[in-house]
Amino acid sequence: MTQDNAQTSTPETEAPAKKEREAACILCGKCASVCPVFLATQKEELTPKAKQRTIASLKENTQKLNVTDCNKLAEMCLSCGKCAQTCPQGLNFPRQLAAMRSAHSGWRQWVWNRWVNQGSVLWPMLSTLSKAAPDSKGKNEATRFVQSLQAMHSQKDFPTYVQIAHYDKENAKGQRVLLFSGCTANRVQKSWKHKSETILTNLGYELLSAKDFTCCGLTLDHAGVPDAAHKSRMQNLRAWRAAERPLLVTFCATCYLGLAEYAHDESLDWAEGEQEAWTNALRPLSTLWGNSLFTVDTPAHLFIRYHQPCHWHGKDADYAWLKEVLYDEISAPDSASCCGMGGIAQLGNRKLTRTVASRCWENLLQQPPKKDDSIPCYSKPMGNCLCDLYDDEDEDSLELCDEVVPDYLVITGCSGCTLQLRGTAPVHNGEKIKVGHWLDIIEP
Amino acid sequence: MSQLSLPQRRFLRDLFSDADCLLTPEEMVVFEADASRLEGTPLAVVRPSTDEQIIELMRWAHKERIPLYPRARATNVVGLCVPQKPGIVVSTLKMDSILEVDSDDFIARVQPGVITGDLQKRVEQEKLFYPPDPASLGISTIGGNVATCAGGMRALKYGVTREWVLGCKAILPGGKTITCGGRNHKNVVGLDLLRLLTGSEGTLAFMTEITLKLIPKPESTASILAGFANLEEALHAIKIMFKAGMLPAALEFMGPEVLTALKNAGAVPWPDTVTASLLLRFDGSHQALKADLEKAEAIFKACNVLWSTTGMGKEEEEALWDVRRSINPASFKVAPNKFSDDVTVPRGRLLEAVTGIRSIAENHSLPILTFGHVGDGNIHVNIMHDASDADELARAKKAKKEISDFVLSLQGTLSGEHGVGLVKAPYVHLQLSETERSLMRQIKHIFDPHNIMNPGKAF
Repeated sequence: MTQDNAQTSTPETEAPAKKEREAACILCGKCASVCPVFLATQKEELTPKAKQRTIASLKENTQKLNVTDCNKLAEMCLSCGKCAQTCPQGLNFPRQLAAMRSAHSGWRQWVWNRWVNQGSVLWPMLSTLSKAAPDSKGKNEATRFVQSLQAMHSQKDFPTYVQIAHYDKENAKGQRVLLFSGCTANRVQKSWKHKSETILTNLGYELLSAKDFTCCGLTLDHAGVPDAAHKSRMQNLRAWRAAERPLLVTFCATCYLGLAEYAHDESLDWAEGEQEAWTNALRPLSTLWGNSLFTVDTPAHLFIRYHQPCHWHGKDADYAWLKEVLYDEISAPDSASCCGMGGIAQLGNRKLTRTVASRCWENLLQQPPKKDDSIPCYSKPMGNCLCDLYDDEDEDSLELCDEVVPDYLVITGCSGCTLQLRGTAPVHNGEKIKVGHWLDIIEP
Repeated sequence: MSQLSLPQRRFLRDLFSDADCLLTPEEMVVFEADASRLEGTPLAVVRPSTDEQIIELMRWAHKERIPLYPRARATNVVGLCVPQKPGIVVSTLKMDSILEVDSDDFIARVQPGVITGDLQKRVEQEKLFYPPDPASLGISTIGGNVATCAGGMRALKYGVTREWVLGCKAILPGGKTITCGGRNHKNVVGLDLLRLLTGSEGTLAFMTEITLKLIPKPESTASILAGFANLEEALHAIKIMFKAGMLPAALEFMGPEVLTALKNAGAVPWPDTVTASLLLRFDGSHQALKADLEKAEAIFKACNVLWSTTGMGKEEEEALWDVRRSINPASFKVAPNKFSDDVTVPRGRLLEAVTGIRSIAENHSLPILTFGHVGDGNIHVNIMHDASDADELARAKKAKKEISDFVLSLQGTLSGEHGVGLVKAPYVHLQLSETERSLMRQIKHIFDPHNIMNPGKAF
């Protein structure tokens, strides 16, 4: 018995020392170059490395945490996770911050009040949160907000530039599949869900009923309400189990990340080998096309700009596929920049999320160099463009082409990014720039 | 001085907007330190966005005798940004415009807060090239690079930052503005104040504008990563290559301890028999590169290379260079603290230097990582230790001193690129005579009679 104890305690007592060594911020500053909050403000005090120094001092004094303003905790970070991807020490600030939030005594009440009053882009996730609301005022209020959000986002006139000429059914082989649509598609953008269902069926998958799924839990987790997040995860895991562990498909980068993280969550009641099975079952919708064929018809004066969701963490299956289908018709800014959606930060510092969004828009509205060469001559022959007088290779012709003002369409692969970008879209050529999920430009 | 007086605080608040004038300790916590992880006391942090604000600040600080600490991304590892004597940190991050790229004059005019990597991308759009490439180029600024005369891997072929600075506008303590150099690629009028400011570690004046030299961008690049059975063979291969008339753009070396650290931190591509590794990059036309790679491979083969891999063009090369980039993070898995030195020796004495440093490590039973830009004789020496262990710390300090003495005995220098800052200040007298240091102090006194510019650093 005593021997047993000795054996089990040794690795545990060693672990914290080793962990501490790995977990110290070395102030190298790599995080600064990817943090959207810093890049939009140039304020070094808002870099992840600065926050690491701050939380180190809060950790030493937990009393201080209780008096730390909830506003401060909310506005520190947009939870994009880019710093965690780049940190040589493996530090994950969003996760550390979530833990601090949940430890704060007044956090839950604050988060609920703010979510209801200010967090419009987070409303789709509200009904899940309502179950963990600090008092009984949850459900009805939540429904009301979601309805008003639906009204805000009904973009019926979205142009569908991509048609599917042929569905490749080879890969599916009748496999059973659960579609995880996520809060936004379930409550606000039902067309995404319907289109995805049609696509999966046409690709030859057997579509199972996904009505038992709830929020993936990621936003709730970052929001510092871990019990609500845990409940959601358990419910989703059970639904997958009940369906006998079929393929699990999603079309939202944030949902994908949220679901992928389940496999690392040891608090879920995993059966042996189930974590691996979960990871293998999870697929982005855009990876299932196989050799399907598409017809594309886009106006030549249109720039389709792709917004890279942070939550793909650099491995964006959507953009890879879109590039294959749309070639030069679609382009992305050189450096991916966060839209400022920021989950819970929406509740603390809306101004900050707006500042980050403006920087994102600046990048999105830069003209991609390649298409610049070819458009104007063909698109607006009626305009005052004189390109056709010149040889293709004549450099002067490019400058004359600048007279033609292009239109922009922004598409992305994340529900949260779509709502945030729609909410912040600037006016261009007298019209608010259209923003959609890539599903919006597809006619399945 | 432990804090600013009320009138002093009022002055700063009047000169800077609320968002750009930090006065509470909570907001200033990150400004206490830099990547050296040494700490000081900022009395305030200000973020000027105009020359006028800096002029007024320099006039005022000169009169009030308050130290000023210029700071950009604070990536230096020698404590250059640390406000050791309490003072005001001046962040250049809001002065981050590329003012001009002129492809006829072959110059770029920039503000100090521009990220070096961003400038490179910008000039490359016009098929121009700004070669200096300190390892931190994606996260550090031109202002910081010029203040420290940053080096980098391409220094072998293209030289260090100094070679690429044509002019600058700087503000002196007291508020006077000087212009040094300009847009001319040749200029011999007067004493070279520009060279004096470049690498002065912010101790003389505050640069608000910098003009940089550009050249046409090489068509492409190619790299080769090669593993050898031992140090001697790797360094011998370099010698043969130079003798064969080859000058790579970059030539990096990784010693046995580094390879072990990399292996412990993750998978490495080479077999276990490899204990020393070389990483080379060539630049030029596609045809020339192909020939260069073939020639380099043949030379290495003749020098008993055990393993090698090549990459043509940026995408293919990335994987090779990722190995080099993982050294710093991997080093912290060896021990929590390090003294990071970047000694440099005459190129011909490289083998002697590396062997000698390793035997010092052995004598003190400390892991010492040696790697770096061997082509130009610049060796990064990381003395790894646990600072919480008093004995280990004492041994590390002793080893550092011994290495300094040893390098100087080879006619080397204490720092090839990191600078002196706080970390190397105690050792400067080993390299510079009293006469030389006194001359430097007098020059500093002429620029900055009240010693307000980054005091306690450099010399």
